Amino acid sequence: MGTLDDLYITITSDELLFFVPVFYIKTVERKDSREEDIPFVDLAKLTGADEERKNSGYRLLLSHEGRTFALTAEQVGNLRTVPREAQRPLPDSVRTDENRYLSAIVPIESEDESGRELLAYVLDPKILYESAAAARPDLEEPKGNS
Amino acid sequence: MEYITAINENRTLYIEKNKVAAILAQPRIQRVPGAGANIRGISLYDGQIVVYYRLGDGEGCGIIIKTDEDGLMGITAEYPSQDDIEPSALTAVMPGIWEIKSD
Repeated sequence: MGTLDDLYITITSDELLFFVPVFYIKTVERKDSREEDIPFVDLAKLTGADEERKNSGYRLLLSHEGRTFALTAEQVGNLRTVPREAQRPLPDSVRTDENRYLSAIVPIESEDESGRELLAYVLDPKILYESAAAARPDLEEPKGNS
Repeated sequence: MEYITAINENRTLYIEKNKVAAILAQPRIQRVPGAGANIRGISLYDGQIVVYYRLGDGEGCGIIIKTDEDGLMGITAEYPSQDDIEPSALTAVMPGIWEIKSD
């Protein structure tokens, strides 16, 4: 049986699948049109989605070391148990400073009729927070004030 | 020496036949956000993660190549073929992958 550490929520962007550790998630909500008032990361923008697909319909509020930040995503899917042993490291040849927020790859079975395996990326909330805070330092809230 | 040729409109590559692990029709290659321009994507083959390199513009098939480190790598091509060619006519592109010398 899995622990909370093994539990992830599935989000999608530009037909790619990502896992966010539930441990870091405070809330998931539909994104409205108002300006973000806390540091945030737009997953579509971060992952270089096509301009036409940059449509982030959901907002996840995450907490890292007492600080809250938002991650916007195209779609939010199911909860999934992903044990540590199912996670594979990113091959060195694809790892760059630009994708440090991808902490692992997980082979999963496609939910479409093809039944083929596909690969999901595990997101590292600590690195996402660094990106969010660096982009909008004016919005960063004091530690522990969440 | 026998080679599998990866034929593309703009580039033909020669892969040492004994290093070819598989030739796949329409492999499911996924983009890797933030990866270098030389990376086409990743895919699963036989339980292993295969990195596909961007060497030419073809997309019809995937050629899985054994690496010296007991791993696998991939390239894509419009279609594969087979050729017998003198190694001295070739220049290395990557380990196990060659192309015709330009001079």
